[in-house]
Amino acid sequence: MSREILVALAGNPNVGKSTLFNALTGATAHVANWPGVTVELREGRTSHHGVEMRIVDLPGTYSIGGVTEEAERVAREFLISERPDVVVVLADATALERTMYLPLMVMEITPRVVVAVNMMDVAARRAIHVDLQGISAALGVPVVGISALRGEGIGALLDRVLAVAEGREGRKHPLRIDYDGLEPYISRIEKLLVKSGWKESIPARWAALRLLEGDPKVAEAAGRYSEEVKSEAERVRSEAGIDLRIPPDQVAVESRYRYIDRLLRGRVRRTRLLGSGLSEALDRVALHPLGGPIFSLGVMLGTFFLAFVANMGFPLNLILYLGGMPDLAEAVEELSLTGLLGGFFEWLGAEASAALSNSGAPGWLVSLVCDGVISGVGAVLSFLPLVLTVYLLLGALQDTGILARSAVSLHKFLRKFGLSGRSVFPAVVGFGCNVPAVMATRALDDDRERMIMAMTSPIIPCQARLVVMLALAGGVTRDPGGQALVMLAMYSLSVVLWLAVSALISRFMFRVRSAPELVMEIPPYHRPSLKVIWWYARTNTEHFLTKAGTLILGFTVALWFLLHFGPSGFVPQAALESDPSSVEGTFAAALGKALAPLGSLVGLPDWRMMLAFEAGFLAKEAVISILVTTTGAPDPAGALRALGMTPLQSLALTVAMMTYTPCVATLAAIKQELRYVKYVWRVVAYEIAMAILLAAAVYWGGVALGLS
Amino acid sequence: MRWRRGRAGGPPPPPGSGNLIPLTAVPPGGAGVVRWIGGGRGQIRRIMEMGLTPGSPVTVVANSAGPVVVSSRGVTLAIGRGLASKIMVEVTG
Ligand SMILES: Nc1nc2c(ncn2[C@@H]2O[C@H](COP(=O)(O)OP(=O)(O)OP(=O)(O)O)[C@@H](O)[C@H]2O)c(=O)[nH]1
Repeated sequence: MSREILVALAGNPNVGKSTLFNALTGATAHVANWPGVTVELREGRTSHHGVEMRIVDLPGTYSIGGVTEEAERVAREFLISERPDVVVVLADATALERTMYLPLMVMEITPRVVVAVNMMDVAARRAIHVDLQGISAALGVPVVGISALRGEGIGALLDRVLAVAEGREGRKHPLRIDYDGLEPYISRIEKLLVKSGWKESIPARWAALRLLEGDPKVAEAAGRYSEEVKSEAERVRSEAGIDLRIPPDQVAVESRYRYIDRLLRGRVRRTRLLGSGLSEALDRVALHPLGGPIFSLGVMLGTFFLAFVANMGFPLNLILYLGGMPDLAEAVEELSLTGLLGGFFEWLGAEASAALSNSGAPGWLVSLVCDGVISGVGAVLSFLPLVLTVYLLLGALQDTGILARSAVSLHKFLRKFGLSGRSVFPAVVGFGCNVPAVMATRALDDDRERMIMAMTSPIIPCQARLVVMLALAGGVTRDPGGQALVMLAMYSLSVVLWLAVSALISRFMFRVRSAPELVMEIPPYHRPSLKVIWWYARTNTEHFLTKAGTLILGFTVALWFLLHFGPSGFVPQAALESDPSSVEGTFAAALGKALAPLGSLVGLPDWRMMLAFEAGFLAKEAVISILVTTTGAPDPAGALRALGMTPLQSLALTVAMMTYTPCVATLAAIKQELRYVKYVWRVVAYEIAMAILLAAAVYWGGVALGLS
Repeated sequence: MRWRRGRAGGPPPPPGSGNLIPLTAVPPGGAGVVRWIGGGRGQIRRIMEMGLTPGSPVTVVANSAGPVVVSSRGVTLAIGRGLASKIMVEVTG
């Protein structure tokens, strides 16, 4: 299978096009002749994900509209006659107002464009923030931030190039810019062209515009259709010039810049840097050999404390219980985002169920909608605010420049485990959701470190697991102090495991002796900007939604099927609720029973436990609903009691739930980042082995100590 | 061999050539000019891409247990100690 795509690079002089070209093509660059444009252009090749790319470096130009400028003519005619599969147009992050002009012009000819915003490193240093995603949404084509000089973002750029070449992303039609006063003239000529049977590879609208701007080449093409159209177009052109008092091509330039102004409004933000006195004072703490790590850890703990309290009341509720204020603790729980959303979806499910039943829909359909789809959507949506709050806070850490200092101050410690300080980024992201954490490993320089982090960051408990562990901790002890202790132990254990497994993988799988080195730029301290934090949070939350959200929804429905169907047909929800034993007749139960021997190993013999593990593999938060539905208990703690779980068994279950395989969405992310399925299997295998070992150690250790 | 501008790669400068000491030995607040960058090819490139090239003036911001933090041409960089020990600077202040 040899597939090759043609990629053209376009950009203003000095935006770093040669730098990008060299980074992409390396030693393969040579000069080749392109008969269509009768000039020689530099070209080279690269391959990405097995697809060969032939990359042509177009001359650096500010525009492609010029009639007399040779470079512009070459660039324009290359795009028209060679019809590249994708055009990468560079812009300069520090001067988007000026450099977005060329991308717009290219997009008027072809929709298959990827905009590469270069010089992102300089922009970060000058506290210039660009909402790449917002611009991309407005333009309808991928917009990727890169630093050609440092080779940053090039992989992501090539990903997007492939996506556009394969038609998975990007526009279907060329960009349509509003040319204000010119519009009536454009549409008049466009109509003439269409009537004359215009079949060139360039859009009729663009040809009309070019005729108004006086492009002789297009006029010649129009003349081939009919001389009449050509002379009529010429007449419209002079008419427009007289009516508007400005030559049409100048009107067009102004319209394009107006478009750029609107495009960039609110999407480029220049924040102020912190004064040098304050920055130095902060750095004396943040970069202090002892104070630095303490400061970093303190800031991160504070961040997650805030995020978790807002999301589920934890750990403030436990603290309040301990402080003898149970009423306040309950209020905190109810007012947390999880509490509010949970209530809403319960209500929605009941309403929908009543409405559907009244309209005479069959039982299984009512159940599919209410117990499958609505609860699936509810599961996704209830995680949205959790994920969003974590990223808003992390965004603040990132935007101010604090996180970069943490990477430096924790570097020395992390080196002992085969990681560098930069691994701090994916690790903290993981406490929110493992999917964006795995995706964040992309930014690591060192290839081996990247692979290690992609494989080990899922050990870090995400918020879905936090929810499950909180519920299970209620089965270990009813004392809030004890529960807090269990949670603290679980989090500590998971961080230790993450570090230990990273060290093991680096030593035994990659056999590296020396830890990855650190070279990174420390951006100046910025004043946080709400807008920029919001961009960061939105991007990460969107990753969660598109990668994890759809999977969670799909699997909730699949799980609904397993739970409501058996060899003998449909088992209604009402039967499950009134008689929990009716779950025995479902496919889910059959699966759980097949796995039950594995559970006995770790002191969890009940097949319903195995069922919960299966559900957790699809999406961690499903564990609780499985335990509750299959036992008919009102809450998770009740479910554990109904299963006859002793505190020791509950503890073993909590440990196993925390460590066994990441959810499918995370595995999909690992597959995407590491590209080979074998790594996914390794992750699943080592995590399950780890879960069995640890849970067995907890259970049998406890038994040996005479606990129960 | 001349060490006027400095160079990247190759053998380290012989002891006593100029007033050269490794970056790790420059105290915080100390300043100098980079004269030699050693290490693997990839590492050298990476450091140079970050703007630290032979001839670059550097000021050390922090230098204790962790990475050496230097400021050069308006950019603040953190460099792991292993790499920093392979960067020789001529101390100027
Ligand atoms: N800081 C930084 N500098 C860059 C980046 N990309 C390119 N440069 C620098 O910008 C300058 C111009 O880069 P070139 O690649 O020569 O630009 P070009 O677009 O090819 O310009 P022409 O050769 O005039 O067409 C060079 O000094 C590059 O080192 C980047 O991402 N970050």
